[in-house]
Amino acid sequence: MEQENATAVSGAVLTVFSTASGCGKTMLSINLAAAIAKLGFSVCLLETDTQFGDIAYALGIDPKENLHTAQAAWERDPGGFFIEDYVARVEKKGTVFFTLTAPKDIEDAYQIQPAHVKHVVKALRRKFDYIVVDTQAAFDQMNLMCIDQSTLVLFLGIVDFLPTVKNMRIGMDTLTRIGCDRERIRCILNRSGARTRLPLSDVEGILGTSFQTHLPNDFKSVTKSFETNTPIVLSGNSSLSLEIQKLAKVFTGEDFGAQPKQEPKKEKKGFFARLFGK
Amino acid sequence: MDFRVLLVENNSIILDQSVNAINKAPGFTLAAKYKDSAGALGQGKVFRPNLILLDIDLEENIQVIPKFVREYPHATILCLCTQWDAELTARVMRAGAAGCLVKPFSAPELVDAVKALESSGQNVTSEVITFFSPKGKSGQTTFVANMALRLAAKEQKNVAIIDANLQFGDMAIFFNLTPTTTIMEACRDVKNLSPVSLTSYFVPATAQVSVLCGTRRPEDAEKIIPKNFVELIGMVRSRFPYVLIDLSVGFSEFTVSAMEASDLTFLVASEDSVFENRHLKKALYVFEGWGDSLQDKLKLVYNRVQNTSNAYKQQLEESIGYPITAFLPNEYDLVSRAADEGRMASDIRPESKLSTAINQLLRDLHGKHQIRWEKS
Ligand SMILES: Nc1ncnc2c1ncn2[C@@H]1O[C@H](COP(=O)(O)OP(=O)(O)OP(=O)(O)O)[C@@H](O)[C@H]1O
Ligand SMILES: Nc1ncnc2c1ncn2[C@@H]1O[C@H](COP(=O)(O)OP(=O)(O)OP(=O)(O)O)[C@@H](O)[C@H]1O
Ligand SMILES: [Mg+2]
Ligand SMILES: [Mg+2]
Repeated sequence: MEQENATAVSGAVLTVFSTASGCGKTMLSINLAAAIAKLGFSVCLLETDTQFGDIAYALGIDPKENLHTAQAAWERDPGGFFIEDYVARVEKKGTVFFTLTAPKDIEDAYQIQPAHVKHVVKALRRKFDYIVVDTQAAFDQMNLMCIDQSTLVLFLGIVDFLPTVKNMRIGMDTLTRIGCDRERIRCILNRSGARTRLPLSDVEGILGTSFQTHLPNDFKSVTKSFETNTPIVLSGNSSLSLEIQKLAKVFTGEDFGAQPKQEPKKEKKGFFARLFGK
Repeated sequence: MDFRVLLVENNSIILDQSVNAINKAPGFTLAAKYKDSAGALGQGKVFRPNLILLDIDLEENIQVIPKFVREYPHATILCLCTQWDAELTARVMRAGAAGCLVKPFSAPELVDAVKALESSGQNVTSEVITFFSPKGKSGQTTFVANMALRLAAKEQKNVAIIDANLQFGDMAIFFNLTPTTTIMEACRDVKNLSPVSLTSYFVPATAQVSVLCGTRRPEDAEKIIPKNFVELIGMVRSRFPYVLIDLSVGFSEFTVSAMEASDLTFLVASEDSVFENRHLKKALYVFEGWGDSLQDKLKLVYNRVQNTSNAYKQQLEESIGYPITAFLPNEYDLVSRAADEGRMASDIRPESKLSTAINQLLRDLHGKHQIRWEKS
C-alpha cells in the first residue's frame, strides 16, 4: 500500500488561484516554478486546469504522460506508483524543472478525480521541494483539494473592472469560510499599472486587504514569453521578471518552513456541504 | 414558422370540427390528435408540437396541465372550453397554460386567439440562446447584456436573462440590481412553480429586460441540479419570447444540458488570450457531437477584436476551421465604464462600434434562424 509516512511528505505546495480567469495564473505559475528552480530547488509545476489548461502550449511541450495517466497508474497500483515516471522534464536556458500537465484530450479530462489526484499531489510532495499549482478559476472540488493541500495560496487579481473586484471579495470570503486562514493567503496584484478606472485604494477597501505584491503590466513580454516558450524570469531582468524572482526568494526563504501538512479530511459527497457542514 | 398542433379533445364531433379548423388555418398543421390526455402525454412528443390545444371540459385534463408544461417545454398550451369562464381561465394559466379558447372554433378564431396571446405579452413561441466560452474573460457577460437590450429594442418584445455563471455571476452588477431570489432558489423551487409564479424570481432591469440573477455565494452552485435547470428553462420559455443564458465556462453536465435545451448557442471567444484558437479547436471537437446541425446551432463570435477586417476574419476562420458569425470590436473604455456604473455600453453610446456590431449580428440572424414568432 501507499506509504503514509507524514514526514516523507514534505514538499511545499504553492497554489496559484484566482476568482476570474485571465488573471495571469499560468503566467505566474510557470515563472515562479522557473525562478524557484533557478535558485537550486527541485520544482514540479502541476496543472489542474483540466479542460483548457495552457501549460503545454506556453512551454511548447507535448508530454507523453499527464495528470490523467498518472492518476490511472496510481489507481492500478498505489504501491507501485512512481511519480518520477509521470513528470516531464523541462529545460529552459539551463534551468531545469518538472511538470505534470493536464491531459491533451478533453475525454481524459473528464476522467480526472480530485480525490485521486490528491494522492498524486502527495507523491509529488515526497519527491519535490516545491509544487507550484496552476489552477482554473473556480471553487471546484479540484481546487478545494489543492487549497487544502497548500502551504500557501497565491490569490491573484487584476483590476480591469468592478465585477472582477466583487468576485475577488467573494473569493476572499469563501477562502475564509472553507478554513483557509489568512496567513496562508498571499494577495498578488497582476497587470499593475494597466489602464483601469478603479483606484487601487478603493479596490483594497472592497477586498479588506492590501496586495503584498504588484506584478507590473507588461503585455508584450508575457505574449512573447508564451509565443517563444521561454519563461520571463529566464530571459532578462525586466521589472516583471525581477518582481517574480523576488517572490521566489521570499517563498523559498524565511517566509515559511516547508512543514509537512496534516492529512486532509475524508471527502464526502458534496464538497461544499462537507466544508460548510450543511 | 408554422404551428404544429397537438389536439386533445374528448368529444368526437368537436374533435372533427377542430381538425377541420386547424387544417384550414394558414400556418397551422395538425401534428397529432388524441381523445384523452394520457395518450397525448405518452406519445405526442414524437410529433414535436409547439401548440397544444387541450380540452378542459374534463377536470382531469386541468389536473395534468403541469405535466404538459414539463413534457412539452417548447409548446404553448391553449385550453378549449365550452363556456368562457374568467376564474377557470385564471386557474389554467396558473397551472401553465397560456389561455382559453371557446370551442368549437373556426380557423380565423384560432388564428386570432394565437395573435391575441402574442400581443398581450403572452409568449407563443420562444427562442432560448445560450452563451458559452471554453475559458472566461471573453467578454461573454458584456455580450449577453448588450444583446438583451438591443434585442428588446429591435423586436419590441420581452427578454429574459438567466445568469447561469454559477459561481461568479456578474449580471446583477452589470445592471445594478439587488436580487432577493437567485437562480439557486428558482432551480430549487421549480417543481412547485408555475410559469406565472416563476416571474417573481426575476428582477426587472429595464421595461423589457428581466434578469434571473446568479448565486450569492460560490457554494450555492453545488445545489443546482442540471435537470432542474433544464426544467426551469422550459418554464421561462413559456413566459418570455427571448431567453438569453450566460453560462459558466467549460464543459460540465450543467453547461452541456443547458446548451442542449437551447435553440442556439453562441460560442464566445476573445482575442485577449494568446491560446484562444487552440481552446476553440478543442471545444469545437466536443461540439462535433452535435452532428449535421452544428453550424445552425452553434455560432462563433469573436470579441475584443482590434482588426475587424474581412481578410483577418478569413484568416482566423481558416486557422480555427469554423465560420465566424461576428466580430465584436475592442472597446475597453466604454465597456468597463459601463459595467462600473451599472449601465450598458449600448445605452451609453448607441452609435458605438460595439452596439453597431451587435445590431448587425441581430439583423444577420433574423430570418436565418426561424424559431422565433415572425408572422404577419
Ligand atoms: N503581467 C502581465 N502583463 C500584461 N499582460 C499579462 C500579464 N499577465 C498576464 N497577462 C495577459 O493575460 C492573459 C492571461 O494570462 P494567463 O493565461 O496567465 O491567465 P490565467 O489566469 O492562467 O487564465 P485562465 O484562467 O484562462 O487559465 C495572457 O494571455 C496575457 O496576455
Ligand atoms: N468588446 C470589448 N472590448 C474591450 N474590452 C471588453 C469587451 N468586452 C468585454 N471587455 C472586457 O473584458 C473583461 C471581461 O468582460 P466580461 O465580464 O463581460 O467577460 P466574461 O467572459 O463574462 O468574464 P467572466 O469569465 O469573468 O465571466 C472586462 O474587463 C471587460 O471590460
Ligand atoms: Mg491558465
Ligand atoms: Mg461573465
